[in-house]
Amino acid sequence: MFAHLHTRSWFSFLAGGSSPEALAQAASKQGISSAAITDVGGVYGAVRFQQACRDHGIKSILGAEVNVDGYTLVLLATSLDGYANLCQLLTSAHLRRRLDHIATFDELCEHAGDLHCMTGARGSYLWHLVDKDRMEAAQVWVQQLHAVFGRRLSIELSHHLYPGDTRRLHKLTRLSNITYVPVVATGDVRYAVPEDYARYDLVTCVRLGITIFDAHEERPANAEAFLRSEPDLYKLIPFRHAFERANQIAEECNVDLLPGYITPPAASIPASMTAQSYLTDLCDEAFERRYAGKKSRDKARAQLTKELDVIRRLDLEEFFLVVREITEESRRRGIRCAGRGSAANSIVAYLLGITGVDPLEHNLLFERFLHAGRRGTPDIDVDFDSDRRDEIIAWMDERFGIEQTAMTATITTYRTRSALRDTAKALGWPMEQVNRMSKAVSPHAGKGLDVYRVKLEQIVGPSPLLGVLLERADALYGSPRHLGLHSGGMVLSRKPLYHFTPVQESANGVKMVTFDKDDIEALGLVKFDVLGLRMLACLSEAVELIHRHLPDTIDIDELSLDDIPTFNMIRAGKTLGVFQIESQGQLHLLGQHQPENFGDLINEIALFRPGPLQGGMVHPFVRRRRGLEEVEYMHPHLEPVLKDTYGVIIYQEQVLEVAHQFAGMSLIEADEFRRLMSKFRDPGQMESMRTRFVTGAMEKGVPEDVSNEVFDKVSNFVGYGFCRSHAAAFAKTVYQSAYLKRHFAAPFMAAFMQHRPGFYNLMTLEEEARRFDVDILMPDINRSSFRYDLEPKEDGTLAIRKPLSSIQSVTIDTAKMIVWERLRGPFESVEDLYRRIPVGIEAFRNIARSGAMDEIAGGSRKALWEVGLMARRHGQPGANPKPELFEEVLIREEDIPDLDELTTTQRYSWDYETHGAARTHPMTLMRRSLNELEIRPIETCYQLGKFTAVGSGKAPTIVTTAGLTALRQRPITAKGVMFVTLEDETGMIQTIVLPNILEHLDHVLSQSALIVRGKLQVMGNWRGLVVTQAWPLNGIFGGYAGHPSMGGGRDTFVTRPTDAVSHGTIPGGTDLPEITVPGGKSAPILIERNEKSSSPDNKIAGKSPQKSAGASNPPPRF
Amino acid sequence: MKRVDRPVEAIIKKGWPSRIERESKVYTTRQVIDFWIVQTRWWAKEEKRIYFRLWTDGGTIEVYRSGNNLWVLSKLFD
Repeated sequence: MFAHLHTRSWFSFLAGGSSPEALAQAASKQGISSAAITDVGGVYGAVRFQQACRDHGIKSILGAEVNVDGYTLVLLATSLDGYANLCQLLTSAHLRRRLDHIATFDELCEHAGDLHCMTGARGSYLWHLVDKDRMEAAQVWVQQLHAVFGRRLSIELSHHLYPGDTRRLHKLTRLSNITYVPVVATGDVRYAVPEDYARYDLVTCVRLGITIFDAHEERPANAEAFLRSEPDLYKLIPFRHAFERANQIAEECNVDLLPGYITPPAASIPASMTAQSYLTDLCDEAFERRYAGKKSRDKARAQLTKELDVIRRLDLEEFFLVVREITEESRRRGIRCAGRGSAANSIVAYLLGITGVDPLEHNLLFERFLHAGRRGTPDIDVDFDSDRRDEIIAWMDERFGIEQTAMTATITTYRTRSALRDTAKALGWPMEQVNRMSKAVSPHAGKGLDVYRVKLEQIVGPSPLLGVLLERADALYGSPRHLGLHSGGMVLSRKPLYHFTPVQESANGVKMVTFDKDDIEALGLVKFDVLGLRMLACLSEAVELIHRHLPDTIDIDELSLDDIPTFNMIRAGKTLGVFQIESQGQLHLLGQHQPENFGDLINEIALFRPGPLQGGMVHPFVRRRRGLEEVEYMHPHLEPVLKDTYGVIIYQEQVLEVAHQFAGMSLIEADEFRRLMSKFRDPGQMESMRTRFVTGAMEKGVPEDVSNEVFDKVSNFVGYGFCRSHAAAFAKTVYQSAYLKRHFAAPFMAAFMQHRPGFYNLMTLEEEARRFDVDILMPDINRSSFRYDLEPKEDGTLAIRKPLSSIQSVTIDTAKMIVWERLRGPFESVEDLYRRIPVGIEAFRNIARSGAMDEIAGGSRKALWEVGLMARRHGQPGANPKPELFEEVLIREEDIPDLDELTTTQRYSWDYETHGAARTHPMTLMRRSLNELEIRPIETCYQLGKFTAVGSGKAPTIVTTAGLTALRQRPITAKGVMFVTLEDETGMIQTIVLPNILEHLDHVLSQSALIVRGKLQVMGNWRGLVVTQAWPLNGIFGGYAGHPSMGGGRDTFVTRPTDAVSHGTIPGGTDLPEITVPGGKSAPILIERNEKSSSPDNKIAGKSPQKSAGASNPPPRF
Repeated sequence: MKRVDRPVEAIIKKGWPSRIERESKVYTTRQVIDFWIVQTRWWAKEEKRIYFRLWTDGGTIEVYRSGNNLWVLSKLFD
């Protein structure tokens, strides 16, 4: 029997080599009775370690290596109070200095209660003194610690088979004899088994920023710091009493962090009521309001009773009341919020106003959210207006107590690329090669880097270290790298958080606990997701604009969900800016699916997820929905579950129901089944679940092969599908945003441009506004605000006025300053503005070029000239706001030469450069020439589908069109296909580039303006072009492809038609691009190959596949 | 101190080198002063070396046993 009291896990963040689970396993294997986890500066692995020790029948002890005044002490908690002291000490250390977290000796004295202290091993002050033979100072130090800890102090003996370790043991034993402080034997374990030594050394190098070829005192000299058995350790530390002391300490340490129940924060409950009665009262009151006269009333009442019973049994009343309190407060402050996720399955959440979707109306299954067998807290995610989320967080701090709230952490673990990068750096490869290697590997690849061996060898050449790199990077995969901040999970505690966890600061200064969401749940704490959603900010601001500028009043929470014009707009695919359904993929799906009601919208959202997409469920669903295909079930038992989705699984709830009804699992088991398959899938667990599923189904009379088939279908789906409640909650926001766009386009688009919740660029958004008859007014120094705003036009309609902050180099603070200054009177001239506003000259130049001074200067060129003059004659902007009494005017009329007006092209260029979008679509400038070349406007594609038959059974319709690149996407689900969205003044179209074409046209497709030729695809109101050929648009103008005016002022390479084959521009090299020229003759055109764009680093293929590349385009040159 | 790095014969008793023979010279161990292990170059699959610093009748010496069980006299101390 022996207790290992000093053990680091990989939660020491690059200072430990094994997982807590591996340590527990190794301890069990070595016959160890108790083991402590003592990570560096924290208790990050405590929950997992305690769980793992339970599984292995070992007693777990919690502690940490704490840095006190620069030296390490090992502290172990003997009780929950001791654990709280440890957490407080660690909190103090972390909040003082984020990166090296040093506690002071005074703090140690303050929080020493119920803690055992060991003097520490390598890196400790005692070892430092002993190694320098400063035995008197060592004695003083031990006595100092003894004064703090008394009999809870021990002198630590450990041996890693380093030179000098044996000698030190004897010195420390002598010191023990002198001071009467007992010695304790430890392994000072850094990893579980010798095989983990390489990982430990590697992460040490990563942490120190050195290569494996560099010497450093912190690097291990051998592989002997593993978890040894007692006899093995005794050979190194032959002092029986030191082992007995370890056991004695272990017996005194009794901390259980896993209570098995939750402790919700304290809700505000009227004095005369209990949490239960108050919750029931609130629900009853809302019930009367929500279900009065509804057909579903009786069913709803039964559901409410059932839910309240489950909530009572799980003791969650206060949890629900707290969440209600938060959403109520948010609404009271006018901060838009919307509950989402599985909480929308609950009628209680609906009645408390936490979610906005009636679960009965949409057939939502409560058990997906909560059931009597559920352990831990249910997830209630609430989205808040992203602009004002911080207000709610500040209120929660105040309401629940600053010591009782903090954000949740996330454990950032090594993924393929990061593991490869860090390993390659540590192996000494130069950064340039590291970057190239990293790009060569898919970011989504899992373990098993060996498949990249050939690719990597092409980059680094033959190297004996390549095998080491692959092996070590694989070994690093999945281990923690650092602690991050959760995007919105806020922990609310009834007791101060130090009873559960230390608190530290994230890199951006936010207070956070040191556990992730799973650990938080295991600790019995409540996490509440306060998520910022820009679309909610957009909706709020749109409503505010409506109320400010229009006579209408609107409550978007109470909209009837069946507005025909809104659904017509959705079916027409005019949904740019509408929440969740604005992407080109969604537009394609809308074209097929043609949603007609709110239920269809819920399905629409759920369909466009990797689960249904990759599981091949979208097509059958849509065809069956439209009556083009028979509804089939894999087995008749599935019909009741899948009837409303035409026999296709698209929701997580259906998975749960299949497990319950088809495979005969209890709802609790079924939820466990769902949870298992939506997380990391352990093959062993999966197989046992398959057995359970298939056996259950067979007992109900389902043949074995069908049972297996259903299991496969279900298990393929779960991880990447929505739950119906989540889709329903999102669908509400979809509908609200669509409704506003359809009926209040100007306020909606203004708010949308302000918050930019989507992924289209400003140019596209402005074009979309124009397509909805909303004018965009340019920034104006005397009219623009610091936010997008509306301005009435002469005809009474509203236009969007761009804000000053939309101008390049004009920050939001600068814009606010200009607005404040303008309150003292409008700016009358450039000189007046220059004198009154202290901003940088670059901002002034941009304001002038944007056209914002046109009114006061008589034109952008004049404004720019005057800014230049002022800079020379007046100096710094903002100095001497008023001219002195006899000071002359600085700019006279004769100072301004006759400057030409800007040409249209120049105007658009300046617009684009200074405020992100031209006032009219630049493609209009080329339309005449494009028409002559029979390059059609995008609108033609839509007309073709509308008035002529296109598609099945006919030869493909070939169209040549041109436009600016609005988006470039390569979703991982698309198997190498790239989607390029083109836009002109008439609309947008998605082009589809198949991998074999992309291979040849990659350098062309990276251009910001393109001509494409392809086969037209028609799907309802959606149009797509399957690209067969593509050319850069700038090849058309200027007489030759490389005209400097089209290439950003640079000549570009011109590839002659005869060169095209050798450049492989077109697959096969025989199909030279042809366009029809006036006169009916066909002529090959010149193919431009821009040197810059053809470099590998510029290719879209090298970019992250899910990211849109549209935003990274340089502005087009006009 | 003098570096030697020559193979030697070693007689082992209870896991410790009790007698070291180098050419005609014999060192009999009186006390094991220290022992340690060096194994750093894991990427090159470096062998583990077990070092012993011994107080012998011929003075203090340092020997190590390499992975293939070869004994090497590493250093002689004055």
